[in-house]
Amino acid sequence: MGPWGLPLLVATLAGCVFPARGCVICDPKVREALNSLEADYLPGHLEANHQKKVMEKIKQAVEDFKDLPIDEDSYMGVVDEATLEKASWSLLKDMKRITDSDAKGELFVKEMLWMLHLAKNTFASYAAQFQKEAFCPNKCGLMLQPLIWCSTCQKQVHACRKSKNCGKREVKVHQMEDMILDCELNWHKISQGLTDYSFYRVWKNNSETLVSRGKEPILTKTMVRPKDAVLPKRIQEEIPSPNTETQDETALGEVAVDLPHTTVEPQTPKPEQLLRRRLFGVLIWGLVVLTVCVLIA
Amino acid sequence: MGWWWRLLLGLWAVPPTCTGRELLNVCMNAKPHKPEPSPEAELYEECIPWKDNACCTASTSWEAHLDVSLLYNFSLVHCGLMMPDCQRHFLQAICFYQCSPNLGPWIQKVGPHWQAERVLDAPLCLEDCERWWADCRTSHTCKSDWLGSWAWSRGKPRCPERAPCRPFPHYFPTPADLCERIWSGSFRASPERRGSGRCLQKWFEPARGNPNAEVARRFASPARSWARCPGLLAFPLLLPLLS
Repeated sequence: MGPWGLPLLVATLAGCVFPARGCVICDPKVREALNSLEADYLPGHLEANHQKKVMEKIKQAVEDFKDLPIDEDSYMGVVDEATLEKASWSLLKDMKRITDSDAKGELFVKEMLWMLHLAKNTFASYAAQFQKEAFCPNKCGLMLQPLIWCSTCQKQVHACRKSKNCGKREVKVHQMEDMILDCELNWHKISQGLTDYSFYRVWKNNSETLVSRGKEPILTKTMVRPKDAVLPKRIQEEIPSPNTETQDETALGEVAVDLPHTTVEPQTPKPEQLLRRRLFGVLIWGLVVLTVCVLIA
Repeated sequence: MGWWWRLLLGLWAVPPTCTGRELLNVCMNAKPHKPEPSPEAELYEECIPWKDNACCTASTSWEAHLDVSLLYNFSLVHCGLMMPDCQRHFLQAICFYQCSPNLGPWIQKVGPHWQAERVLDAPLCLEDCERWWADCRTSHTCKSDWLGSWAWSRGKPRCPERAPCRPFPHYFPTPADLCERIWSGSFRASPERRGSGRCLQKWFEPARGNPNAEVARRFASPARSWARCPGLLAFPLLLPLLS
């Protein structure tokens, strides 16, 4: 077995021992501490016939950490690395305090289970803090955030999608000064897989020209001139609106003039028999053509 | 009027009645679908495959990717965040439903005055349902039908009171259950496989083209149309007797 064999084996066995994740269980240090508790501490501090049952209770209590109500303000089944680290450290500190006290028997069981009850509340508060302050901190656009799913301990990237509109920033500078365009938002640096910043000049007809692309969030244009700006609207002189009634009348008059005359020449009445035959033929042919078209379509 | 006149007039009524609405390259009459499909250069992420011919706009394609769907009034995060692979299937399914111009054969009129339309029993390929179910096994939900009965609170749809969050297999024991129940029968779990031409893919690689156009053509064939109206075919034959 190579250098990674034993840790891998322990991790695999831990995965089997703790099938339903409790979030803090996702931290290898917590799993190691629980294994050590079972293998090293309990044999000298608890009667042999109670050890298995007590250890099951302790594991269940740790797994129950994930059983918090789902709410976007408190817990959504995920935490980030920092929150997990904080919660794990707190739990390990409390566990060490109990084992350092050399507690035995029933006292040990009571202290351990009460500690785990409090630790769950502590985890809940850390999760709520993460949810309010650090989960998807972007107010607009798309941010990629690495998270840990408590139910499976998988670490994956979550796409935080908010409104596409990140608003506008108006930058006013004097002519011949430098114009500095800073497009960095506060969540950019923590976004996973940040790519390039692209700066486009948008013209009056809404067409766009790429001005710059790169890793820097700031574009500086030196010694700006009026042509570099989006100018305010010119003040329009008031022009009296045309007389719409006159226009309409004119239009009507034109239409009246342009309308072609249609005359209906009196036709020689055809025999009824001939008309009926023609109608019959039209109906037959029309039906055939329609059916063929439907079948071909 | 002779009997043959009645027969002839009756036959004229059959073709337009039997063919009904256009079934190919159409959008359903339901917001926010476009009136007819057309190219959309700015479709977002999972909706990109339909950019050459889409029933959705760029704005709709973005909204399709939000955690709380503005399009259907359900939330993808009602039991916490979905695993990304699971969420991707839902985004693909939403884009498929919103953007595909190939759902004509399965569009049905709904509503009190039949003014709106929806899709019913669109046959999804075997692999699509199986993969969707497999990738969602570790995610959670609290309902098997996501198109209604949510408890609205603070402006968002949430799990009803006595509907606990459980892993997907609890509410959808099989892939077919997932495909057929999650959107009230919009989809049907077809036993056919991708490439058979007899089932729809809810997503496809843009470079490979849309395989669903051919499927829609097969399901919209005139033979199927005519087969649906034997009664109407008999109608003109009875007309001559009405004299």
